Amino acid sequence: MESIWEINYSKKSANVRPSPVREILSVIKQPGMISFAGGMPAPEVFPVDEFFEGVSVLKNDGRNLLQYGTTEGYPPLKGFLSEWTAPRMGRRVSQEEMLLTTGSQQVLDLLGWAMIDPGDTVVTEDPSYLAALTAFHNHGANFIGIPTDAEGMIVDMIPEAVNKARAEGKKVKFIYTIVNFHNPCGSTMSLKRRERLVEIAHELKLPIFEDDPYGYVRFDGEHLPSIFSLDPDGGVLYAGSFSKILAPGTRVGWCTGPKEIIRKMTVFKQAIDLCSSPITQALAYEYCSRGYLDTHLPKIIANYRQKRDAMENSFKRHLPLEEVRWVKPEGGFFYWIEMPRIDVRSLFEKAIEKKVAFVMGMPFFPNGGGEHNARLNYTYSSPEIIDEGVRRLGEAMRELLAR
Amino acid sequence: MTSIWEPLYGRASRSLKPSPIREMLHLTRRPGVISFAGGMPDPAAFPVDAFREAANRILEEQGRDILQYGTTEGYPPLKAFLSDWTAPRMGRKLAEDELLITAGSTQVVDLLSWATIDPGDFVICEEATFLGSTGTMRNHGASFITVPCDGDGMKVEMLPALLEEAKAKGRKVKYIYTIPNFHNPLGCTMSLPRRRQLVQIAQEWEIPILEDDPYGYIRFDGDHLPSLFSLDGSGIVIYAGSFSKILAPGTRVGWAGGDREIIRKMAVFKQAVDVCTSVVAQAEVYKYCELGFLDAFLPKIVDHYRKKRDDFETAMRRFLPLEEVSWVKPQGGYFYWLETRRISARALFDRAIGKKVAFVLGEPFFPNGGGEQAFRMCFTFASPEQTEEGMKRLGEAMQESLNP
Repeated sequence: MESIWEINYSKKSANVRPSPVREILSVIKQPGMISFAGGMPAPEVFPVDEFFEGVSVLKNDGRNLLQYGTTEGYPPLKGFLSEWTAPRMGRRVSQEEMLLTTGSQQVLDLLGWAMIDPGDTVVTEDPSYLAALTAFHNHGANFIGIPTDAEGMIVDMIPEAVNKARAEGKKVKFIYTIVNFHNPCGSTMSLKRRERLVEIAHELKLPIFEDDPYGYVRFDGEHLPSIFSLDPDGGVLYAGSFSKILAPGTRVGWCTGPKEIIRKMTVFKQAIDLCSSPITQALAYEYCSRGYLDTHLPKIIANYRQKRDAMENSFKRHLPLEEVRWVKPEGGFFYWIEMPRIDVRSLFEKAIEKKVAFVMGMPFFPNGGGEHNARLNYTYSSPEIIDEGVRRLGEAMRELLAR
Repeated sequence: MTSIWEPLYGRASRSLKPSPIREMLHLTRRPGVISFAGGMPDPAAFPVDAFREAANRILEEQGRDILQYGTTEGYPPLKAFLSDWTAPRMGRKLAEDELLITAGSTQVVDLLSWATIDPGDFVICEEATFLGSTGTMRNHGASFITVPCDGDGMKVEMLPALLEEAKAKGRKVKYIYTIPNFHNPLGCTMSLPRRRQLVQIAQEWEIPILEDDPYGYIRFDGDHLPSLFSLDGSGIVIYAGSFSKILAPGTRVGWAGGDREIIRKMAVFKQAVDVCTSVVAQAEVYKYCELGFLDAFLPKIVDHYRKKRDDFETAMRRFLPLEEVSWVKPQGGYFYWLETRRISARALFDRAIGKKVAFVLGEPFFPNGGGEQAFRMCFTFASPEQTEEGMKRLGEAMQESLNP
């Protein structure tokens, strides 16, 4: 029998998808399980003491911070971010060009509110960030997936795909891209492709949503200019987050873009949560203004670089190299592996028996695919655990190949 | 020149209206303006030192854990506390999977609307109701069926006829939205017989109820009434609570209590909306509660606002033309709702702003029109001196409206 809730569900509700990481939570929690599944920072990198120094702000400004804040965000933090992000953004953005959000996940939802009607189309990398696909899907989006290689999205394929969709009467709303240390691919878009992407977007009259939660977590090489900085015409919305450069428990993110779209998103945010907590925004600001963001970030990067290297070495030591391909990520949180002869579902089952977990490739592909891919996170576990987990995974692969 | 964005906006964007209160607040921020407009707590009532102590303690004890991502469902110790603390109102202790921690109670409305509303669906609500909520529902594509109210809240006896009519017109009603205690903006509280009748009708018609109760614990007089949730038992009531009024809005911590099936659905939408509510904020709130501060300070907050309500009542009696305006004295909450006999609220607003006193017009609270001779005043924010001076100015503005 249908429950009273079922009979009152919306269409969105009937086909809403829970995150696959959450679906395997009970598996991940089994004793002895080594999990490469989540995308969590390592708790040992959290600057606990430095963060908590900031609580003194409650003494001086508590009455103000306990009150409702402005929807636009805590002005001192916006002021700080305008300065701090200037090298990446190409200039200091004004207060009206920035909105503070409840993590960068909220930027996805807000842009969905502003742009997407059911049946509209969004261009993404194929594969792309799951929770972005889910957020857009909840707003009714369909997807054009553009393949990627080691240089990121193969942007030259966009015009034909968009024109074809338009010829079919579809409304294409924006191009969503994770330019740095892609989730899940691990790849970074080359400068040439970034420049080309801006050109293409102009030609097609499409805005770009540049999602960059990992951009500051670079291990090797030079930072590349943001897409935002390459486009002087206000066609790019940039999303950033404190989750990876400070700590996710703050739930403080931001987006930067032309005043017009920032204003729209602000009005939607009024209806969603009024404002993000001024208390946590102020704590993040205190941390930043004391200089800790700059002094502590290199420590986070060093910790993750070591773990990335550990996973790379463990891959080379334990995996059947002729059967597995990957691109070494220059930053971020993930390895993405491809195994042309292995079905990832069978591998997952075998791996769980051996007590190692990962996320299968399929849910990252908006329009199908990924049966031979897996995403592995290296930031959360220690190098020793990483090695043991990869050893188990290699064993699982060999057993499947021998069958 | 149109921008690259504008031609690509979605339906919700094109019909989007900013909150009239937020827009009006710009007027009220002018220097010298005494504002009865916003529904804000009095910062003087914030337990700043107790909250800071709680923040220091939890950060010292749990710092590393609370900086990590939390579960979407909420910080388990806070949920356990709420299960106990809300038991008298909910009629029983809620299980962990019957509670969802949210970014204020605004998010409860958003998440329930994600789960239930398709564009063109209907929500039943009081004839005038909280703007923020109807704005959220409207973004999801909802239209409204409104029910008249009196001093005992929504006239629920009118519901069956309204539901019949909706059915005949092929309208899908997805839930009934009500603020049973110290209504915003009407100030009224739903009587016990009406509560029972509402639950019975909702059960018969198989229509869920969203019981929005941000003010319920701010009661000045009389006894607390049973929640709709506690009168139901069949799982059709979602209860929305908030720390905004019983602690402080800057925490942005609220909660939903209800049937595990809908709580689970709302949690799945919350994953895509913001992953989880700030664990730092949730843990600070938890520690504040666990140290006993919630129970210690809530009576002080209630006393503080009772006195303000009484000051407001006194000032209104002293300065307003009593034959021209009527109101029901609220037993709790934040608001007075005034109805005028002859004066247009809009004309009064202009005069009042001229005299540097502000309130909120009645009209925007009515999703289907009305309220031209009504307005809302918040009594919690202004100081006693400001209340007296503001009311004097308002009385003058009313007199001038009557004798222009």
